[in-house]
Amino acid sequence: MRVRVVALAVAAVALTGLVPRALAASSVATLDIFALAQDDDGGQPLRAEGLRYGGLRMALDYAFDDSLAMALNVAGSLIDNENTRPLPDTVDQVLTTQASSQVLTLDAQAALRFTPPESPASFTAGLYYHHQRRFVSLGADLTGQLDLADSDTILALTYSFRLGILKPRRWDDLIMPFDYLRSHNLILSFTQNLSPSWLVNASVQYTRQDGDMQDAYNFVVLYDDVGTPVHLGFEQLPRERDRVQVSGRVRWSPRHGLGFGLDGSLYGDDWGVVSGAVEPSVEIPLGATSRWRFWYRFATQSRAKWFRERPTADATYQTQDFDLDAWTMHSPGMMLVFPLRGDLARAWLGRLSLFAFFRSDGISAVGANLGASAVW
Amino acid sequence: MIRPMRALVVLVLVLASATCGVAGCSTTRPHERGRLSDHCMGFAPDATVEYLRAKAEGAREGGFGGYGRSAAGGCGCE
Repeated sequence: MRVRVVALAVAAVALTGLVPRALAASSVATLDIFALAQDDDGGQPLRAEGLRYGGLRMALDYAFDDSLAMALNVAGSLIDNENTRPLPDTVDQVLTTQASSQVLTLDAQAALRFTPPESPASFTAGLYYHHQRRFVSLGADLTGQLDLADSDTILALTYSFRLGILKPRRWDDLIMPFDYLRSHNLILSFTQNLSPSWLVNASVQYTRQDGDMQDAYNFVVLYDDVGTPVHLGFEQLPRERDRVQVSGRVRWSPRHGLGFGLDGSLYGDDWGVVSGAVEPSVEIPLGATSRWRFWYRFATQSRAKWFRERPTADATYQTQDFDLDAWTMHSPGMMLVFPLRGDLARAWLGRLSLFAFFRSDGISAVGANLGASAVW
Repeated sequence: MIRPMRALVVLVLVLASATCGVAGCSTTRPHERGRLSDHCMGFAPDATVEYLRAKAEGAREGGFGGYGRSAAGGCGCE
């Protein structure tokens, strides 16, 4: 019984991604199914953004020994988009298209983590691949981590590169020539144990992007002087973007298993988007291995300088993508982790999560996932 | 427009590096770290939930997209 409880505890800890060094030789395999329904009661009135999204995700974290570990994860999903909306008679075009009503996507990542014996440093190298029709993205992730002050302080520097290759089919049914999108991402992270019950993390992230950053299915509705839609123009966005985000996270645990968290972030970019988010959370133990976590995220952002809600003529840069407009968003969620079974060699945990978001411009969604994990 | 942004990036990275470099300090003993390693103290409590939330919530935000997607756009568009 004691071995079972310990195994389940190891599983619970390993699933958080906060695996202590003493437990690093444990391996974890997970399988999840997930679903999401997004409704569109706002945003761009002539473009349908509702969808149904479902899929499967598998992950394996396997420790060869105390020095070398491997992580693999693969997710496949099917997106069923809402049908296009009919254009009013006042618009001179007769056709808009949309991402095919059904789209298959694949995400895959593989990484190796190496920790030299008796060293405070560890290194992780990974590869990333995303595939969907007319869009493929490849990438690499490199992380160096340094444990200082007897592991009370952890510094980590992560660099990620993504190269996307796309050949989009535009909303007016024209197939565009091949294009690319490159992203360089640098994250410097600092984690400090403040006391036996307080933990803080601060990070700064810089992202540089260049290439095609337009959404092929975004059009810009042009209006006449009395506000009647008369023509559909093209989204035009710069081919470069610089972004900075600063984040802070605090965790406090007054007793074993009970934890309170507060996350916050500030973001700004050279497209004029400034955003902030806060997310309080609490995790409550329900027994030796069961736990219940709740969170609530509030985010707000300003309008990008290229956003034009009711333009009357084309401009050099213009978008009507309401994701780049000003709005606020509320996102509650919960996750329940519970034991399924366990024995001397292996422990099984179940996991159910539910979440939703509600944006002030009428876009909303609810999602869920159900999964199981084995730890040995 | 990009130059001030880059100057800000460099400034933030330098300040963050300097802060991190001098801030390492020992505050707990190994036997006092039980609560710190509890799952409730995790910054990313579950990988699949994080994956889904990034797809669902993050992809709707203008401040998202640094890892290969363009800029917002939701998970239903190419």
